[in-house]
Formats: sequence, C-alpha cells, structure tokens
Amino acid sequence: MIPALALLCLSSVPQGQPAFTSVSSAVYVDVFVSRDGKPVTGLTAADFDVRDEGTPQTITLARLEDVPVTSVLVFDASGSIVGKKLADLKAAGRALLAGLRRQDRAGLVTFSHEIRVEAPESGDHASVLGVLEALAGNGGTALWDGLYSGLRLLPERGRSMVVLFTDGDDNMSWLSGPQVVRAAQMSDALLQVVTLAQAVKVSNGFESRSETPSLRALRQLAEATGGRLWSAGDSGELERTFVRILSEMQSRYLLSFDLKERGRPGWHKLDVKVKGHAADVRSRRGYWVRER
Amino acid sequence: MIVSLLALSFVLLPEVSTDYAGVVEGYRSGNREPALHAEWTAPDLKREVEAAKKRAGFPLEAAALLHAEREMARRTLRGQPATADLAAAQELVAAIADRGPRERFERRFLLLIALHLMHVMDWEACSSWLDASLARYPEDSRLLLARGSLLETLAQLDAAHIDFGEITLGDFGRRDALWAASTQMRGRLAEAEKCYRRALASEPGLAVARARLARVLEHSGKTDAALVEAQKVAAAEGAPVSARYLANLFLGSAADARQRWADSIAAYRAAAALVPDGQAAAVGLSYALEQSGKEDEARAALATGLARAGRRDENDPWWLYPWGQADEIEALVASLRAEIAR
Repeated sequence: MIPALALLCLSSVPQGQPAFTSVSSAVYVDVFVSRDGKPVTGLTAADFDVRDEGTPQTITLARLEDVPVTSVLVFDASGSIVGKKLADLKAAGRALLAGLRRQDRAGLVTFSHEIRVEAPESGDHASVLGVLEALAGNGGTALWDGLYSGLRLLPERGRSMVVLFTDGDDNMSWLSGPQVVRAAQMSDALLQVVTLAQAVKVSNGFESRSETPSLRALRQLAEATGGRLWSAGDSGELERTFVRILSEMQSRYLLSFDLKERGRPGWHKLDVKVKGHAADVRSRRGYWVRER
Repeated sequence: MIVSLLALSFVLLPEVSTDYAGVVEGYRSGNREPALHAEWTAPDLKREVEAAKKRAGFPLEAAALLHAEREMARRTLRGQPATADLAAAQELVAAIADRGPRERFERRFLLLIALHLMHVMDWEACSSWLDASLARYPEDSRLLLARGSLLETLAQLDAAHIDFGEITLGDFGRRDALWAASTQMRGRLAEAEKCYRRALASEPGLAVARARLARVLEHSGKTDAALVEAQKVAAAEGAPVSARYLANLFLGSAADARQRWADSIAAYRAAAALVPDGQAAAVGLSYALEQSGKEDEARAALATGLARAGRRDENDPWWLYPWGQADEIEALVASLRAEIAR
C-alpha cells in the first residue's frame, strides 16, 4: 500500500542538497498561484489551506531553488511535424533547455507511429539538445503511448514535469486515453500539454464544441496533475509558450504534508486554497495510494 | 445494304493504337518500366481502353494490372485524387468478367484494388469497390476480410469523434448528433462482425479474420465471445505470427478491461515473444505490470520494448491494423504479374 503518486519527502543528501526520497510519509503538492494571470509570489506555508479528503493538513513549504526538476519533453514527431512547424518546435525545445538550472535534468521522448527515447533523462542538457536538432517528422500519431512512455520513464523520485507537444489526435496507440489518465494519476509528474489548436472558445458559460474529445481528455488530464493545456495557435508561438511553462515551473510553490499513517488504497482527493486571498490556484487534484 | 452497314460499323470501331498495344505487351512480358512511365492524356487512355475491350484476344488482364500498378505508383498518400489509370483498370476488369471465366485472376485483382484504396484511405471508393466486388463474389473470404477491416477502421474513426461523456449533457442537438455517431459506429461493428463470420465460414483457417473478429466482439461488448475467438488464434501454432500476435494483444486488452492483470501480463508477454519489435506489446505489458504494482518490471518492460524502436514499420502488425491487409499488396501484385506472363 504505497502511495504511488505522491508519497515523497525531502531529506538531506551528503552534499547538503535536499532531495526526494522514496517510500516516505509525505505527500508532495506542486502549486501555482496566480491573480489576473500573473504569478503570486511571497506566500508562506501559513497562507495555504490543504485538505486531504476534506481533512486539513499541516504543511511545509520547500525552497524551490533547492529542488532539482526533471523535465521530460514528449514531442509529436509524426508526419505533420515538418518544415516551419518542426523548426519552431526545435527552437521551443532549445529555449526550454536553455532555461533549465544546472541541477535540473532533462530527457526527450518522441512519438510517431512508434515511440523513441531519443535522450534518457539525465543532467546532460547538451546531449538532449543534440538529439533535438536531429528530429524529423514521419508516420502516424501514437500520442497516448508516447505520453505513457514519458510518464513511465521519469525517475521514481523528485520533482518532475512532462511537457507534451502535439498537433493532432491519436491514431495509432495501443493504450487508450482512460488508461493513460490512470497511469498519470499514479505518477508524480506535472503535465503541461502544448497544442497548436485554437484556444477553446467560451460562450454563454459553455465550452465551444470545437475541442476534439482527444484534446479535451488531454486538457482534463493536464489539469488533474496541476498543469494545463496551452494552445499556441501557431507554431511561431511555441517558443514563447515553452518559456512561459518554464517560468511558471520556477514560480510555483512546493508543499508537502505528512501522512500520519498509510492512507486507504485508491484515489485521495486534494483541495488546495490560499487563505484570505482572491487567487487562482492550480495544483493536482489528488494522489493515488496503491493496494499493498 | 446490310453488308455495307456492317462494313461501316467495322470501319467506325475504335482501334487500339500500336503504341498502346506495344506498351501492354511489353508490360506483360516483363518490361515494366517503360509501361509504368508511358504518358497518355485521359481522353486518349479512355479511347485505348474502349478499343482494347472490343478487340478479340487483347490481353485485358495485363492491361488491367498495368493500370492498377500505375495508379498505385502515382497515388501513395491520403488525399491524392484517383488517376485515370484507376478508371481504366476498373473498365478493363469489368470487360474481363464479361469475356468468360477468369475467376481466379478477377478475384485477386478485385482484392488488389480494394487493398490499394484502403491503403490510401479513400474510404468511400474502397467501400463502393468492395460492395461491387462482393456482389460478384459474395462469399470470397479475402474480400469479406477486407470489407470487415474497412468497417472496423471506420468504426474506430467514429469512436475518435465521440466523447461519450457528452452524451448526457443537456445540449439536445449535440446529444442527438453523438447518439447518431454512436449508432453508426455500432452498426459498422455489427456489420464487420458479419463479414468476418462469413469469411471464416468460407475459409475456417483464415486466422487474421478470427483475430479481427475477437477485436470487434470486444468492442461490441461481447467480451466472453471475444476471448474464445482470440484464444483459438493464439493457440493455433500453424497460424501466421502476425495473427497470433494480434490475438495475444486482444487477449491482453480484454484482460485489462477486467483488471485481470496476471492474464494481461501473460498475454502481452506471449505477444512480445512472437514479435519482439512490437511496441504495442511492450506498452501493454508495461501498463499491466504497473497496474499490478510491479513498477520496476513495468519500467524495464517498456525500456526493452522501446530500445528496439526503428523497426516497427516493418514488424509490428498493430501499426498496420487500420490499413487492413495493405501489407499484402506487394505479394498480390507479384502473383498477378506471374499469372499474366504465362
């Protein structure tokens, strides 16, 4: 009965750098707080109200600069990713890699009709950059299998983010969307999804129906992990979008709370609020505790 | 008077040009490259075909296959328009049928065009072609398999545009549209099931039809029946590896749906053993291991499967699944070429 999604905590390592350790008694929650679209900074642990299945938790706040981030880029390399779109995607990947800190790690997975681990996650950003430059689009779109692979190949420990880019719907995966949602719930990763689709229009309080079921599933999945769907609209916007994702990652709050005892198996709903502030709070919706 | 009318009609009968006859004869005898690159305007080609159909002893099979090959060489991607060669091939094969019993050639030629149309995702033309072909040979197992495969792919395309969560929303127009799409999808699956069953009635050993039947049954909610069919194929050691691979994948999928992870793991392991380059098996195995709490094994299974990336184009039958039996086109062309050369 190990909470697979989120039982992580910070502990000291010989170099004095905090790091996550496995099988621990803490739940880890990555939170983004904004007001009018701008990040809210300067909050302390006392400003947050975190509830696990409705029960208030005593939380601690980690110093982000002490915690390395593993970013796995999961890129669509299907036949539609060619020419300017491919060049813009490479530029966006370069910009994200350039913004990583020295202690951060990165990896690159691509999907077309097949999945390729182009660069396993490591601290060698230059090697990821090298394979990024050689990317070429070809074939179908095994989006769900690619996303699953990105999630599964992340390290078991640590703060991690998957940045998924796609310009189309799945047409080749073995796994289904619901299966990958379940896998994401069991992962610790924050998922950011970047598409070239137009932003969803909202009228009379209802979403436009222009969003495909696949895109809607990706948006809901990203939001469930504390991330979001970013609609770049045009490939020329990709670089700016990726930089914003990284900037957001570096202005989040990292909360944790102790589990007094192992939780009941299954899904645990989390509610995160900022006390006394009118702010938008984005964090994962819950965590998963496995059967023993 | 009668004599002179007959003479006049003979004079007005179109004649096959020497060039066209030479190109077809060259193709028939194995000199294919000039024939594949010869140029005709669409009206000229139409005239030649009309004349060839009326000329006794003209090698219509060779001409039909030539134009089929030209269509396939010129039209390789979705969205490309049909060439004049496709119409020529269609005209010629109809004329072959009118001339007398050439059933063996005709059946395989009809199948070749159907597989080509499926390969280039010209679903509408493929559907019409298969309807006409099956009207002529209603119980041809391969044509039935192709039609079932087409219907299955179309049902999957329907499903990709249906968000079942939306059906309960209060937007009645949208709800009705979704129900209609859902009904269409179910209808196609039911029709695909019938095609596969008829194919198996004609050719009980057609393992790929049975594997596909299992998939359709599973998608139709008939899981128990799906398991029976998939198990038959998985256990049939004489069946093609691709059919057994697919059957094991479908067994894994059915077990996934029931959260019987031990069964899933066994099925995906069997699939991976049959086709080591098959990423579908690796991903399915990893997922089943993860769900059963074996996270390290899940990671290892995935890493092993993905390490073999780069060979899936040729070796993973799941990748080709939406295109039906398109991987048989090359062999089919080769056998038809051999036949016309005799």
